[in-house]
Amino acid sequence: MAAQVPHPLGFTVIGGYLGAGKTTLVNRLLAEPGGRRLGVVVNDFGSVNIDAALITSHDGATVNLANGCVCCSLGTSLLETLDELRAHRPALDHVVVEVSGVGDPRKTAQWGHTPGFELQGVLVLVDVETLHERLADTRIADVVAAQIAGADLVMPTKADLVDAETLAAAHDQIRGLTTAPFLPPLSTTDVLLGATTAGEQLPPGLGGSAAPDPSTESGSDDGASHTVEQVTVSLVGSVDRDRLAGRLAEAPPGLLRLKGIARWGERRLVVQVVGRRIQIVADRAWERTDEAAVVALWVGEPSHAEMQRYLEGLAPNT
Amino acid sequence: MSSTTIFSASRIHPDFEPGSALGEGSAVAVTDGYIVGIGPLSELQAQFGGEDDVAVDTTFADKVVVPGFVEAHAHSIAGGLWNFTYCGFFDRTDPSGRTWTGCKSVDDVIRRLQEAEAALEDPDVPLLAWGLDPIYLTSERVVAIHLDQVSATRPIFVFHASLHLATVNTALMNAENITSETLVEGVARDAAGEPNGELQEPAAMSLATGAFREMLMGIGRAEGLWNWARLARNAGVTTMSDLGTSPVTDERHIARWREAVDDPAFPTRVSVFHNQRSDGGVLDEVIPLIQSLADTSSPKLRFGHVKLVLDGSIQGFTARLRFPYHELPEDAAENGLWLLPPEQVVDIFGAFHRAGITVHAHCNGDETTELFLEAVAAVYATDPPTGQRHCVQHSQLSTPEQYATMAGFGLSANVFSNHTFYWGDQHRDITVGPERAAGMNAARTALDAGVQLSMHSDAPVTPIGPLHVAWCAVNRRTATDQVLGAEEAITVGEALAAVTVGAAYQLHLDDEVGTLEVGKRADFAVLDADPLEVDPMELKDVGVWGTVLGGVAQPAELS
Repeated sequence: MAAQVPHPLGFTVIGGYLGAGKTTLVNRLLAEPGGRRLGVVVNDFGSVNIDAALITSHDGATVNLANGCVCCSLGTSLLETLDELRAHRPALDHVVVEVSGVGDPRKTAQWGHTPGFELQGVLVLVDVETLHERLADTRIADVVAAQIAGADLVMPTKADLVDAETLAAAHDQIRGLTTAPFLPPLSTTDVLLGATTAGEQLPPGLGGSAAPDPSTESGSDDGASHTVEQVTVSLVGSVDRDRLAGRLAEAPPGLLRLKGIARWGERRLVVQVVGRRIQIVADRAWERTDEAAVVALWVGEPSHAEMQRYLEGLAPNT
Repeated sequence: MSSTTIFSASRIHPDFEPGSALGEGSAVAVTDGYIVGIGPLSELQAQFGGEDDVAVDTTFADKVVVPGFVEAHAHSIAGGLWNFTYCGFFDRTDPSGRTWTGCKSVDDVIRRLQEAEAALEDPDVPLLAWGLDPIYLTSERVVAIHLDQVSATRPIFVFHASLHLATVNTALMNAENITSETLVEGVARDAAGEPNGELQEPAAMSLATGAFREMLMGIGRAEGLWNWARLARNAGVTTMSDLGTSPVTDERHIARWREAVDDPAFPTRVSVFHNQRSDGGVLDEVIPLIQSLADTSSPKLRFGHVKLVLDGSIQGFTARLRFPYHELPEDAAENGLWLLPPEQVVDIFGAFHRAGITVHAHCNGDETTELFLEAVAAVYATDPPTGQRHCVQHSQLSTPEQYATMAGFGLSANVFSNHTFYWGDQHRDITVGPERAAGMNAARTALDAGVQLSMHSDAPVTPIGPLHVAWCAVNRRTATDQVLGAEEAITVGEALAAVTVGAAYQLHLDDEVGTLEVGKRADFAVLDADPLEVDPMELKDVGVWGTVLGGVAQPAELS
């Protein structure tokens, strides 16, 4: 086997109050990891429903699955558990941490910026059936509101249990707390977690396969709200870092993920947007073989042409 | 044939009930670690003199013997921290009995670290320190440029007293690549956007990779348990509790406890609590585990009780308060943190209660006490208590009405009296305001309501020292010597009862320890003066000779 340059592991945080569906989502990710070797840290081991036929070993705090995923309950500390996942061999692709129902997912997300990880978003699940009641309960309203305000991406859940009026009211309440885009129900693992590795969601030539996902590419052109669209654009010339940050902050609504490489003078910028979160890191000097490009995933209104124009505008010379 | 030792003393307090003191010429007779007689020396000699193997031990002839103190809320990491350099604000005594002067200024902190740095031979090892508390060093915040005066080459990591923050020097940041490009939000920055050396919360602290992990490993080493017990013994404590610091679901931790505490030389008994965190495992599995662990308890090491941490701390602005809330620093949450989901408390508490397991619920804020009392009411409605003796821990802001409810439910309270001294000024001026600060840790209200009471140190949050805790409850003085809530003061006798039999009751050990009576374990605190006779303002300064644990003298280390 050829020696591999270690990629940082993708890192995703799943938050939300009790009953929002975090465990259901974790179960789905473990069952359909989308070709990834996931390391999942769960809050309550007992509620995770892993098909017994899939379990290859179980040593108390850790369950190994036949599909290469690992599921662990939090041990002595998150530090210790994450150190173990970082060191896991064969190497994992992505770590998902489920936060306790009263935990602040944005705080947990900071681990995604520690060496060996690359934060790919804070998903907050919101139970639309109980949201109104919870935001009216002084004992927990601030906890629920802070979770939503800390989200990069919001996934409303249990919409099928409420009428249209309740759903619209819940959406308004969420909108009052965050500008984070809503993830479509039953989003694919790629949409939920982002790139498999640091490079993989990048366009060809930047280290990723970027094989178009049929379910996203075949979406309708009229921007039906549940269809995820994708486009890749090359960036020509050097960007201004502050201007780039400003442009990213004005992204069209519905932008779920954006990832790319840009040239900033003699330095390379790694750019990542997950919903409301914008990260720009100058990671090293620009090299001649580097190529500047971005790929974006979105839902909703913007047409391909509009998104393409927006992305091209990230670099002034494009 | 068992031998009997008769310890003579200048005075003995079998307990702290009025009129129970035994004067000059009194003694305690001990056989096999138990008290077999207590009274005038001459009577005990007459009673036991006919036996073969009787000795009179006069070591304490000029000392005052009282029941060994019982600490019903501490954490074993208080011992392990002493592997590192202390740079806190208050004077603090280490396990060897050496008192480290408090660092009253940023310059004091730098000097303390410079001394420690000079003592390190290997230039590559990091300098690790603890105890820094910015709430007291109000003139300026300790940041990297201060620590750079200690060393420009050696990594330095200073753990704050809260254990939630650390300050590191530039050499460490350079070595660990902590730069303006670092994205972790807990990396504090200066006006120019550069990291200033303060790392907030574990994710940021973990960027100090080697130093942080070495510190955590060092705190957790087995010798830390011994250092912890030495601190306790030096303060007259014979029974300690570890309130959920180490997961009892982890066999390695249990083995470490057994190896240490069951060693005959280990100088205290210990009650080890399980901490049922929000991620603490499935109740159906945890409950039988705790019950089977309880069955493996030894005379010195006890398992079987559970701690629930419901909220954060008042000085950390993370306690859950009823309106009005904290006067908050910028960007803090409006109210504090729940560490367990409020609606789950009734189920979690109920499951332990129905299994007959004692629950100690950490309730710093009054909203938290309210939540716990609601859970108790809901559970008791169908399942009345059968001797569990559940306890409200800290109970710092519990109101008179809440104490009345606790009394009705037969709940105990273990109040954090040391707060009056260590943070009383800050509570009055910064965190909760003068009215509520005066009513904090309301020992008088608790006793008057009929609530069974103890008081604690929560070490390492404050130093282990029942006489200091009692002094706080009696005198209600802040660190700047101002009286805070005089109406909540209790008497010396009440305070000493709270840190002996009061704490023993809460640990379900009152039939063994907490008073000196025939049939109880021979656990004494041996004091240089009578705590009931000294000026109450000098209660904290009464000298501790050491202890007797199960009939074996355990002299304190003094230097």
